[in-house]
Formats: sequence, structure tokens, C-alpha cells
Amino acid sequence: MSTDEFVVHEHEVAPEKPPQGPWVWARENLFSSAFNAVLSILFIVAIVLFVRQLVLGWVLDDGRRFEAVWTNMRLYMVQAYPADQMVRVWVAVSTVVALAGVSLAAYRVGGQMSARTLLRIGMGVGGAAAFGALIATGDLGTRLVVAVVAGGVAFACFGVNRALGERAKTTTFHTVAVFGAAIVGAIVVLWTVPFGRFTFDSVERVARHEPGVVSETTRIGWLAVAVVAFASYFAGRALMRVMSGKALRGVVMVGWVLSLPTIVLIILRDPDWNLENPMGGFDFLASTDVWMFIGPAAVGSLFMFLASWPPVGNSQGMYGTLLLLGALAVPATPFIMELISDRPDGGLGVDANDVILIGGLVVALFIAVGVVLSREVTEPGKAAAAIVMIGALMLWATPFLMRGRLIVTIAALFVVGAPAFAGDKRSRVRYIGLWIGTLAALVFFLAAIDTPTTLSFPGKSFLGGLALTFVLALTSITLSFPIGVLMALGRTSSMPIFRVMSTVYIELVRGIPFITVLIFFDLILVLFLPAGLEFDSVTLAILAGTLFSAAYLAENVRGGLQSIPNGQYEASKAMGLSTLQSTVFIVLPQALRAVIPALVGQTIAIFKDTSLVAIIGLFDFLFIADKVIPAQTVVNEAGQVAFLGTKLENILFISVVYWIFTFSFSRASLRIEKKVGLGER
Amino acid sequence: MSAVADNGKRDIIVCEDVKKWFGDFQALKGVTTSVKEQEVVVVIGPSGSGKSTFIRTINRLEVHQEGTIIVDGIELTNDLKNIEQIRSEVGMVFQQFNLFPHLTVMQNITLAPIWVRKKPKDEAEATAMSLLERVGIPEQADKYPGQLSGGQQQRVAIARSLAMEPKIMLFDEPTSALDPEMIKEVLDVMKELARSGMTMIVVTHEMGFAREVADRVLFFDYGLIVEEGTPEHFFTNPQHDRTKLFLSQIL
Repeated sequence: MSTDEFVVHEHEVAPEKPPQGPWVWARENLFSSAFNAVLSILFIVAIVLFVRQLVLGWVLDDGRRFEAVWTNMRLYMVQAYPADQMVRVWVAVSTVVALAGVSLAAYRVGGQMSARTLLRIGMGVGGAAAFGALIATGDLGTRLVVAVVAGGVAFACFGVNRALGERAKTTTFHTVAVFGAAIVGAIVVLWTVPFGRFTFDSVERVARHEPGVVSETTRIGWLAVAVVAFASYFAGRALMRVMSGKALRGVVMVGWVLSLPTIVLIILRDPDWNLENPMGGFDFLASTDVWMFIGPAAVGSLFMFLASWPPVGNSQGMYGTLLLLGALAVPATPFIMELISDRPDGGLGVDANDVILIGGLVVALFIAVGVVLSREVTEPGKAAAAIVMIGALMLWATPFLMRGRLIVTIAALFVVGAPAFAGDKRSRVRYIGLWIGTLAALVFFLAAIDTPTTLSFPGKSFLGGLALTFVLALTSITLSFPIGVLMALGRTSSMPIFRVMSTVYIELVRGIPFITVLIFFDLILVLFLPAGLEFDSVTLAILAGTLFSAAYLAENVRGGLQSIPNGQYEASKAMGLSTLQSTVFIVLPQALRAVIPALVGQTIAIFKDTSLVAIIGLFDFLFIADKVIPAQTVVNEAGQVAFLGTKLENILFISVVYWIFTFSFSRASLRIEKKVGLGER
Repeated sequence: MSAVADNGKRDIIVCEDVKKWFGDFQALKGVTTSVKEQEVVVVIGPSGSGKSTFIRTINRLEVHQEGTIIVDGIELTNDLKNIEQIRSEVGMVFQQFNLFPHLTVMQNITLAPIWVRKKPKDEAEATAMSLLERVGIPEQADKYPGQLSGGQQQRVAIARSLAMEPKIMLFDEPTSALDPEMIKEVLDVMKELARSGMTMIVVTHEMGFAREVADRVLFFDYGLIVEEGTPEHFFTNPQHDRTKLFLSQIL
């Protein structure tokens, strides 16, 4: 083509679609070459044999005693939780379900599902069942019946799909409605279908040879839960009409945050709680805990109001105020001590020396902070925080009420943030509001933890089974998240002290097996703790899980931090954002988005790793399947031990349960990744 | 314009013998210059000549080791408070835009005014909207940076800097990463900004822009200002051999 020629390309309409269909696909993908065809056939045969011999042959074998699983469902879920208190478990489940129902409505979860999708699921399941029945071992007659029924279902779905044609695509159902229908189906099955080969009499501990309907308490419980699910969903829909989605989502979020401590500590743990006496077991709140809140809230607010002072023109006033506070603290300390030691869980044994030591420390702190603050504002906020931190640490070494130590530590962390909120009145008020809210949550949590349970249960903990697994996993993951993020920031920090501390911690913990960490917390930690400080096994397991998981999370997050281009830091610096602001608004949101897959992987790992707590004597989900049920000496009519040695059935069951949950996590993570547009930047 | 800039305006940036090393490599070998209020200074030079390093020392994205830099009466030292104050008064536009990809255009622009200037949100948004109108893309306010073209992104970056109401704007090769047809839209915005009386230091290879807008041109080579002068002097009658060579290669 010569250079002066100018060619305009006429683009034609796209050619017809290439031929499609299962045969075309198979030819192009499975049998594209002789070698490929041989491999395909070999692997198909291997899969069929595996399913036939190992999966179906084993699961459907006459010798399997799955009644060991079904009969022990309560043990699996809540272990030795007292039977007469079981209503609280149902209340707990209903609480979660109610929150889930409102959340579904508030977040408008669920799209449309076409009739075609549903019919295809029917075709797939029916076809797979028919195929399974045909290749299975065992009685031919039964297998043929199952194959014909399942094949019939598949064929019916296929036929309906054909008959509907394009309408199958355009007819849609709301996924929530489909889900609701499935719940209704499950409840109907629960009430009508007799399960298994035995009726287990829990009073006489005898299993009789007659198919048993699920026990009445269970049936009523699940029915109630299902009713709550529907009611809460429709209530959520109704609320969406009267209030904004944003407000409702806020309420729901607060509900979720409060639900875990409420359920674990009040509904499940405190025995005096019931509908007639909602304050039962919490009378001491008014006598002590309210004051534990009001005192620090007032003093702390004043302190933080001063710490977030705008450019210090009138620093003299602040210096004076701090001195006055310090002076007040000395006479107030014994009074506060007296008040605190009034608690039923024991006095402090604080003597005059301690009071002088602590009082003096407080005064020194106030004066030091006052002096530093009186100069300038940016640096001093940090210096003040450092000083309060040291004070908080020193308080841990003195005989002082645990709650006091925790509150001072949290206060110190808050002062660290003071410079970020310095300046206008609005952000300072918000800052103090945040402090009061955090303090309220802390005091509530501590009060709830500190209430001794009078629930009578065998073993180390009132929690067991799947309930324990969930509590451990959820708490460890939630708590380890902020710690892991802080440690990742520390490791990438330009300040050597934080960098070294984080690196040492992360490398140390990652080099130790989780079981070792658990044993350390169970047996050795108590030697390092101040006298009089004890944790129960669940708390220890949560601590171990949190600190262990935090180290791994930190490394994941660090990966995300390193993926942030330098230009992002430069741009935020050039705009005058402080390090804290650029970390919170620019760096972390992007870093966390980049590592969602790794974070979900970590969540899944923690969920499964909770099974290791059996090593410190807790009865988790796996331990019950592995050790408890296979050792059960339940006698049946023939006088035989019923469930002895049913390990494989139980392990199979819990494997399926673990898989369902972890698989759901990873599917949910895929949805989140899509939603935040990962990889589309 | 140069007449206005030269008469009676005070020096807003003063650099005295600024030296900067990256390890053993000396990037700035003693730069002395000053910029007056409302002056537009264009910095040109071959790559590696230290012109970007120089402009980045002015808001302390790079730390100089010797010499003094005084911006708006405040000397740049390690004092964090001074640095943050200077940065909030000196806007910077980067070659790679450096918009925050997880925030909308509106959030990109209002973030610093709300958190550094402590402006109420609605006021910051109103300002942001008028700035977006000024740079010609008000309809993109709720999009994410990834959905915009390069030229639009750079205009958002300019609006983002302007939202802090800076006294000085630094431009570090603002059009070098752009497709040719998008360069003009960015340069038009910069020209409009120069005419409005903003103090600007621009590192660029756009000679047309330098000729049209600059009050003064600085030519950098080997970490030094080799030659400086008005555009007329610079482009028509360069004195130094290096300058002549450079201009002969690019014009």
C-alpha cells in the first residue's frame, strides 16, 4: 500500500455465533487430542470409582450408625449446657436470627433468581442423585427406585424448562423468597418426617427400635426461630419505609456489635437472668459499676478536652487545671479505692503506701503532661500520650483493681489520638463522645465478665460444642483484627521502637505452633500475671487465639501496605494530612481492600484452628465427635452399647459442618471483593 | 505580567545554597533563587538535572541537607508543625496525578479541607463543586478516579490542590503522563490559574506553555541553575552552551 493511499475500513456486522452445546464443549475441551481423550476417560473412571467405592459405599453401608450423630445433636451444639436452661440458647439463636433478618432487609440483600436457574439446580441435583444411585453398591431394587425418582425429578425440571422457553428466563423470584420457602420446607420436614432407626429416651438412656420424630423441644425451638426470622425480615422491610436505609444499617451494626457480649455474657452465662427478673444478678451495677463509669468518664473527658486543646495560646489555664486535677487526685484516691474494693469479688488489700505511690504517680503524670502541653501542641499531644502510656504500664505493676488498670490503659490510647481531634469544637465534642462510648462498652463488658456464673455444668466451661467453636472464632477474629492492623503499621513504621517490637512479636509468634501458645496461656501465663488475676479457660483460649491470629493478620496487612504506591503517601503529605490521618483515610482502606482474600483465608484458618482448644480441656465441636460420642455407653433394647466406636460417622458429620461454614465464608468474600471492586482499579 | 510580579511584590519562596544528596549522588549542588508572589516560574532541563528534586524540596517531600529554604516566612526544618503548615499552604500536582482511587472525585477534593482546614462538610463540598466547574468537569463529581481519563484526573488533582486555598502551587511535570490530545485541557486550566494571579512553579517540557505563561524560566543541569531569565531572553537569546544545546535538541 503506498503511503498516500487512505483506506477507510468498513466494519461488517459480527458473524454468526459459533456452534455451541455440551457435545461441542466436550469435543473441544475433553477430547481435543488422543492424549487428552485418554486422560479424560481415565480421570472420569477414577472419579466414578472413588465416589462408588469410598463415598457412597462407605456412607450408605448398613454398618454405619449415623444415629450416633442425630441423637447427640444437643451435645454437638451446646455440649453440657443445663437442659432446664435451654430456653436461653433458643433466645440467643433467635437474637442472632432476628438481627440477620433485619440486616437482610436493611442491606437489601438478594437479587432475582430466574426460574431457569432454579430448574437447572433441580436438574443438576436430580441427575447427580440418579447417577449416584446407579453406581452405588448395595440392594439393586432400592437403588433403581431412587434412580427412577431422582431421574424423574431431573427430567421434570428439564421438561418444564423446555416448555417455558424464554419465559423461564424472564420469570424471576426474589432470592430471599426462595430462601424463605426453603426454611418453611425444612420446618415441615422437622415436624413430620421420622428420622433414623431409633427413638432415644434421654431419661432412661435407652434407644428403642422405632423411627423417632425429632424431640418436641427441638421442633418448637426451631419453629420459633423460623417465626422470628420471618417476622424480623418483614419488620426490617417495614422499618425501611419509615426510616432511611443508612439509619437502619447503623442501628443494625450497633446491634451486631452488642449482640456477641450480650449473648455470651448475659443470656448464656448469667443464670439469674430471666424474663421476670431482667436485672437479676446485676444489682451490684448500681452500687459500683455505674460509679466505675461516671468517675473515669468525667475525669477522662476533662483531660481529653484539655489534651485536644487548639493551638495553645492560653496554655497557662490548662496547666493550672491539670495541676488542680492532680492535687484533687491525691485525696480522692483512697476514697475511690474504698469504693472499688466494695465489690463482692473481694477487696484489694491496698495499704497506705500503695495509695501514696499511686497518688504520687497520678500527680506526676498530670504535672508532666501539663508542662509538655503548655509549650506547643502537635508534639506535646504525642508526648502526653507517651507519658500516660508509661503511667498506665506502671499501674499494671502495682496492686490495683484490674478494671482500673484497663480503664487507664484505654484512656492512654485515647490521648494518643488527641492531636488528630485538636482544633474546632465539633471534633473535640465528637472525640469526647467517642471516649465516653468506649468507656461505657468497656465497663459493661468488664461487669458482665466479672459476674460469677452459677450455672451448674460439668467440665471447665459453660460453653461447649459448636457454640464454643463459634464464640472462640468470632471473638478471636474480631479482637485480633485491630491488633494485627496496629502491628502491621508498627512493623512498617519509621519509628524504630515500634518497628522492632512488632517485628520481634510477629516473628516470635509465627515461629511457635498454636498448641504451644495455648499451653503457654493455660499453664505458664498465670506465673507472669499480677497476683489475684485469673482467667477462665475460654478467656485464655480467646486471648491465645487473638494474639496468635494477630501476628498472621499483621503480615497479611503488611502485604497490603506495601502494595500502596509511594505517590499516595506523597499526595496525602502534600495536602497537609498528618500521618494518622493519611493512615486512616488513605493507606488503610486501600491496603485492607487489597488483602481481603488473605484476611478471609486467615478467618477460615482461625475458625478451624479453634478445634485445638481441646488440648486445654475445652469441649469443642471436634473433640465431641472424636472423643465424647464414640465413648458413649448408651444401651439399646438388645442390651448392646449403642454408640461405642462411632468415630468415623461423627468425624464425617463435623467435616461436612466445618466445610459448609468455611465454604460460605469464601463465597461471601468473593462477593465482597466484587463489591469493593478489587482488581478493577 | 512580569512587570506586576517584579514591582513591589515580596519574595514568597527564598532558596539559599540548597544542597541535596541521595546517598553518594548529589542531586542539588547549591541552588539559590527566589520566587515572588504571583510569579509564574517554569523550570526546564534534561532528565536527572535535579529540577523535580528541587520542586519537591519546597514542600519537603525531599529533605535538603544543606542551605535554607524559606516559604512564606517559615523556614523548612525538621519541625513537623512547620512542615504541616507549609504543606497546607503549598499545593502540589504530580506527574502521576496520585488521586486516591478508593474515594470519589468529590471525596478526593474535600478530604483535606475537612480534616486539615476543619471546614464543615457542606461548605467544603460547595467549594469543591465550584472548583470542579472551574476546571470544567462538574459532572464527574461522584465518579471514581479510575473512571476518568488522564486529563480529567489531572484536572481533578489540580482542583484538589486548589481546595486547600494554597498560596503557592507546584506542578511536577503535570502533562508528561498524558496522551497528546489531553495535554491541552490541562494546560488551559494551568494558564487560567496563572492569569488569576497564583504563584506557580512548574516543571515541564511544554515549551509553548513556558513561552506563553512564564514570568521567568529556570534552566537546570547537573543540580544547578545554569541559566535563568524571561522567556523572550531564554528562547531567543540563550547565553550558556548547555542551554543552547538543550534548546536545539527540543525545539
